[in-house]
Amino acid sequence: MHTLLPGHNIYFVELPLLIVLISLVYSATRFEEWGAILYEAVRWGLRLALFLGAIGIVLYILHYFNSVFLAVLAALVLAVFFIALNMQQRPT
Amino acid sequence: MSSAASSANSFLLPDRPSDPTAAVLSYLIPGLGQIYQGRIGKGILFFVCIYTLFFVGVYLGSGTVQLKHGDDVETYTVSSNVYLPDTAEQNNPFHLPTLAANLYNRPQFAGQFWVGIAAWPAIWQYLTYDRRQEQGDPLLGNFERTPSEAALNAVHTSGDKLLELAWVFTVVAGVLNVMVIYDALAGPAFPPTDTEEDKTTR
Repeated sequence: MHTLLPGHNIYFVELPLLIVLISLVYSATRFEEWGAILYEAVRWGLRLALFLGAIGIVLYILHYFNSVFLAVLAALVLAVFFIALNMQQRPT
Repeated sequence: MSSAASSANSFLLPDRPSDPTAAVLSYLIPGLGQIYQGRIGKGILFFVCIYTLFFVGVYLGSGTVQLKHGDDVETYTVSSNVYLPDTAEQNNPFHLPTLAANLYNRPQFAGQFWVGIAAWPAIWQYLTYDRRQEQGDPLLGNFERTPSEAALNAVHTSGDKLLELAWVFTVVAGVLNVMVIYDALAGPAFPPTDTEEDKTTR
């Protein structure tokens, strides 16, 4: 099978590449000025990374503690965290 | 006017004529419509980003493995993960037309299609597919040709999760290009704000 770099973990090469490219294209379809595009791309990149990281945490809990209750609890805590973060960033 | 209404008005966008020619160009080659409109930088950004996503996906989704069957060594090759297999006869639970049933069986291609010309070889291979031709199409070879089930199974079982990640790359490229096409057709969601110079010259 092909990989971008030999003997690496896909989470350190392919996944960051995916996040960077998606953020750049998405923000470039929202804005026209380069400053705004880059600012929005960084914001979206961080959000995507946090979101995927949160899913990773829930899966980690599910795998290593084998507890659905703990995983659901973690998912709820992370969901509340994201909603709070989103409300804080929303323009008034 | 209520505050809600005034805030809604602040999001109203200025009228901008649609540009179907640019939209078609952006479908064919990502970013070409923006370049046609004179938005060169953005066009190049779209072109580089979407083709990087797509072709990295194609690269990750291809591979060759060799498996031993007794004393024989069999080679299995998957040349690309962008293809549309003709499987309507094997699985068509809703009695859909052939093409719709094939897309139902491989919905990834409905996303990959929107990347434009780069996905057209898969359409050609679908239209001219002949299981007996081992070398593939005379023009395209095996590029974007439906691989055999044995090859898919062999590559899947030896390649960790790369095939799944590969189609995420190619599908995301196609879906993002839909947004690029809309950007060419109707402009960005938030158009550039007027500079002080623009305001004074108006």
